[in-house]
Amino acid sequence: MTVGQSTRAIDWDDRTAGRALYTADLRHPGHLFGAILRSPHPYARILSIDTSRAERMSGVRAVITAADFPYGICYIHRGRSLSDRPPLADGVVRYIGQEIAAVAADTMGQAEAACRAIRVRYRVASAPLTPAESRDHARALHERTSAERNVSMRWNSAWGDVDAGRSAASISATGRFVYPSVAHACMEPNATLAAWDESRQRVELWTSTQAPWFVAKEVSYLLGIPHRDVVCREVAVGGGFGSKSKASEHEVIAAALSRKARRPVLVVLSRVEEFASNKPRHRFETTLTTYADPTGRLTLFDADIVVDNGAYNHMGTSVMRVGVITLGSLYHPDGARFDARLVDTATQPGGQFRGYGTPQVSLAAESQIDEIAEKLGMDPIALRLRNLADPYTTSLCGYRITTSRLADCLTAVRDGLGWETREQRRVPGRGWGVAAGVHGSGAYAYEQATRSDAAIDVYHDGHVRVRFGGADAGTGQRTILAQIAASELGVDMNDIQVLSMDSDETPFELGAWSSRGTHMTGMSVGKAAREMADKLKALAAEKLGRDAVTLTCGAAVAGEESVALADLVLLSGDAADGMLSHETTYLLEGTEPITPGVDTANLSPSYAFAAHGAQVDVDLRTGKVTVSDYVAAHDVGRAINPMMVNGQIAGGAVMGLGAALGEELIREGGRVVNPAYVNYALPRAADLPSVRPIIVGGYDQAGPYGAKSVGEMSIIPPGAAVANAVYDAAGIRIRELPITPDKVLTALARKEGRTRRFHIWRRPSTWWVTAIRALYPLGLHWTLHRLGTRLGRRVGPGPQVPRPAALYSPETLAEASRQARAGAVLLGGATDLITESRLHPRPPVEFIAVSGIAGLREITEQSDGSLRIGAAVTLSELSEGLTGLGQMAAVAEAIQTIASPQIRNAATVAGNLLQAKRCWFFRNGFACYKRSGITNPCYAVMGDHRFQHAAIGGHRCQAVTPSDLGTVLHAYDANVVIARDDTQRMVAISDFYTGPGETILRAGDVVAAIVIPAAARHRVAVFEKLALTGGDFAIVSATLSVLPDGGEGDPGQQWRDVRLVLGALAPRPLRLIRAEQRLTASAGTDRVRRIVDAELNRIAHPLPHNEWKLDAATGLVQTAYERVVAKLS
Amino acid sequence: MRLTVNGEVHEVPCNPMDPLLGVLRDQLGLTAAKLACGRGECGACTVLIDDQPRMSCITPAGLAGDVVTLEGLTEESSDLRGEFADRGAFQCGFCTPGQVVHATALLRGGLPDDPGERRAAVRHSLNGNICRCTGYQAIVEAVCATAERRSVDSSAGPAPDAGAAS
Repeated sequence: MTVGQSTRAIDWDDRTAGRALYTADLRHPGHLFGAILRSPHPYARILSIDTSRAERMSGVRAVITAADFPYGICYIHRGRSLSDRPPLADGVVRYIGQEIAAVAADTMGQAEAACRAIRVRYRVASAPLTPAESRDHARALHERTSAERNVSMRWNSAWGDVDAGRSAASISATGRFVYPSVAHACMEPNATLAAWDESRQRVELWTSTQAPWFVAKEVSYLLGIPHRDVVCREVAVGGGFGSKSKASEHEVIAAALSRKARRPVLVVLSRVEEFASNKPRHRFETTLTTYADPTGRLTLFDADIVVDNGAYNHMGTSVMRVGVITLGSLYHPDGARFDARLVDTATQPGGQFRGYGTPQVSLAAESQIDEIAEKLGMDPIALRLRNLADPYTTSLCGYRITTSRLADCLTAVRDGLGWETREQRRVPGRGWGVAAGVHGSGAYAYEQATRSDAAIDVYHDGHVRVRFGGADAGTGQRTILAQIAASELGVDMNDIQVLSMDSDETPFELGAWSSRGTHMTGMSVGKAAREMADKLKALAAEKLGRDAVTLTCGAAVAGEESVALADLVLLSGDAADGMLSHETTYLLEGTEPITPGVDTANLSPSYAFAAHGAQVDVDLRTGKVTVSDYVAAHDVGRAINPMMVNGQIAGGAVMGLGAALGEELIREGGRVVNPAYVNYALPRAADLPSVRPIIVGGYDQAGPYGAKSVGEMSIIPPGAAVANAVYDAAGIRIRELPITPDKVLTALARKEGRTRRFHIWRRPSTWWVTAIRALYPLGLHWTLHRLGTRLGRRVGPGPQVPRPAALYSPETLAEASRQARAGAVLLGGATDLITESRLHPRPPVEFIAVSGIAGLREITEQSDGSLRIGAAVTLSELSEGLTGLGQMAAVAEAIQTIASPQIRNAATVAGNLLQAKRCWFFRNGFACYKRSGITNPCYAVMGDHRFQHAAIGGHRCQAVTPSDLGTVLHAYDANVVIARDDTQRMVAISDFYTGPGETILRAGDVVAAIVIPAAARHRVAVFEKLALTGGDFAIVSATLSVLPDGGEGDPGQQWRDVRLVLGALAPRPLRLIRAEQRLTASAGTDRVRRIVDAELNRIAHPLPHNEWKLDAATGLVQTAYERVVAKLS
Repeated sequence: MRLTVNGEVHEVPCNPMDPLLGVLRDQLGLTAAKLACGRGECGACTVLIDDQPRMSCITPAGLAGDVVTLEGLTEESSDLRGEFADRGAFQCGFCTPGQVVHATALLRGGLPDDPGERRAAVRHSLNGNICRCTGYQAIVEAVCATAERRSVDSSAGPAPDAGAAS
């Protein structure tokens, strides 16, 4: 019986060998490339769109605007008055990134250039960018049916007996919790290949989707053709997590372009579009009060919830609803009261995201349950166990629970974490926290959501094909359906194929969302397979003249006689084209749909439960929270494929931990600031431990083979589990995710009553900057942003296709220098070139590869004992070389924290030293002072400057020098050898940088080498760095290097020539000169802290939200100090 | 322009500054390496250049040495890929080519023998390959299990290369 086994994914060989074809891998002859013009303003009226120039450009085959669609048409989404989004902006744009027009051309370069040539005249107007702004004195973004401006929907109601709950309570806890907007960040960017067939008036789509039926529904409606004439085809899909579970905007655009151009069109979103224009998770602000009686029984939840809808409805109404339902689903208080508002803002519309409102509200409820436990002096696990609802009861929100093994999940977490003995393992900064949750197995959220059809084909050679209309974006759905068919038909897994997604060939299925896949298609395929099995058994019974037939090993067997399935197919009168087919419908009964005006509903056939437990280690010096152990116990009923269930548990938990610890879409003026993996702190391989999944064994009769859901359940508990663990570890209750170091250190400082005084009034050199910073929020920023930017240089290329580039390979430095003076750009590993070029108004077209120049790739010992490191030595080579020499360990240490091995294998020493500042405004296309000129603002003054901006010495620009290598070399007295024409000169590294990522180099200068003086090579040094994720740029770094006294006595006792260099704290790497003179081997950690703090306070001039970096810097110095002392002893 | 890929020399009509990834996918039909970010930040485009893992989406074709893609490593990685399949080290599979290529290089280079150090080394290196589906652990276990198996086998049988110069 294959059901219940951890079989390999059916297409494992193709997937692991790179043969699986995703949309962008398809080679459709003659296809065009589509590019989308997006709004640069959060809110504006479109006065005119002139596409004439674009249409005339070379290679352009079609241009579309709103005029190419019926007037006033909108996506259906949830229908009626909730339908509010046109396929292309129609007279008004409501968020930065909204689609205005699209171009199909022969090449992507031509399509993008043509987009830039479309002239749109806007009348920009102000609009609310946050729910708070939306509520008061703001423009109404839409006409809504609710009575309040910018409130798309309000749900103000209650379940159970609220008054009884309040009066039974003796204690309560209150708090405001925020779960931010996070991005799916699927590895496969959204991609659609649309092929319009003019003769048949239909369109074929190969699109990265979880729900072909919904794609067909919207595309057909917007194109004005019948549903059946939008034909999706099967294609590999690279992740969804909800983002692809309804139609996406580019799908309609691709289809419309194809129809207009009469050619197939491929649209692939860029990673920037993925982050900044897709529909992310809805941000929730949950103000919750939880009440309990003296015995620990929860009596009432009372919540005010504000959901940031973004600019259009999409699924916001149901996400809000499901979020609220969290309060009525898990425990059984007397009542729950809630007032929830879905608030429009001129930002990215929210979409569907794994968990769908539940993670957000669960953060609040599961955190607050711990607060209640503390007030009562009860164990948090015991409190939860005390409040569990029994199986086969109905919850406040109307869920008719079937099986529930949540108690077993909680005890599994308790045992798995070693909860009872945790005090024995407590060390400073360590803590443990748990959270529980529930999620349905497919909500009745749409008409026909309770129906799923499936088909089975048995071929004349005995192999079997399962056909279902949904799409597997990586969940393993295709494999478990094959397992089900294999089990029912007695066929080997190797003889089973699965066809999904194809609108012509597969039967009705609404797709993968709401964790419905296992239940709905498990049931429909199981039914189809059983019915086919009955057919086959009947045929065999007739042939064999026996009744008791079983199917096994590809044959029908009765006693000693058997007949192969292949032969049965030939015998069957129903066979056609060499195969016997059977299609069936599964109709789920007993569930209730989401109905406006009805507050309760039994949405799902069964409900999955889980409890998670986290062990965290909080670095109390830097604020960094590290999860050091994580247990996730799930009640999934029966696991059809345990390996895949474990994969969903681990993957969802890690995604939830990402939101708990670092992920957040950050916006400035409505524009996403961090639309890149390098700026978006999702977990990388070394950031988290292995999640320990536990499948609590069970069986739910309601589900296929006893199965319930798992896909969304696992992302729900991590937020509160980590928040609870951090509280246990450090005594600080953080209610706003992500729990980043700034929040931790700020809370610790407040808790311990520590403040810093910078005496700005005594430091005249700071007064000008202080004044400018004060003027920014008083109108200076607005003036520079709205008016000044019109005078500045454009960001990014204009409406021309980039010219082909030339690559020179000089053999001497002198030659390279001359080429550089003539305007060519020097290349090391070129790791930053492509990204930076995209932002240049006139990207460079001449490049110089220095790797061929003799001597530049070597590390050589010089006659005076100094070490010469060639400029083109890669970071990997340098790290390896120094490790081999057994010297300068801190340099190798620093290199290992840079980026990734792939980058380190290419990036050169000189390239790393010279890399441009990493301020995320500068890097992600904001027209800032450094990017565009002096009339432009610095966006970091009022924007998010918590992580990578200067807390010391920030001036017109707040950025820092990002090079870790450049920073650590300051502690080794490095010199930079610069070639110019035929001469070379040497500059101390402390004189090399003039500003953030800016150097003394002029056109024609070529960095030839770094030279480390002989004496410095023997320094004992360590490098400490705080970053959000592995390989990320430093938030702050500290390098401490000393020359141990070589005289008599204890060599470690006295330190000479201390170098203490702080990175990423000031525009250039910063030596704390005074502290260097006062640090000694015997100072001790506390004194070190006071020494460093004293100097920092004298020179710091932090921005409003990055003062915490000073605490982190001091903390890193303390850790570095301890490590140096240990090295020397 | 001349490019050596998977041991074969190709003449490709491209500009030396064109990203290698595009040349591999669009001119040579080698679509295993994926475009996921185009900025060298995620690792889905990982190929081997002169036996070292590199981001092909930001490598100018003119600066590429000997290129090996997953298509050229199918044999050598077959045990690793079997471990991937047995452990659920892929779900959507989009990051998988990059993971397999990078892991293949790690396995050639020799990972630490101590299981804890080996696991940490694998995790540290695979910082360069983002996965959004699996949470990484199955990938790490698959690589470690393959390393273990190969170190046991190497005392018994031939080294697991496929004509690759290591």
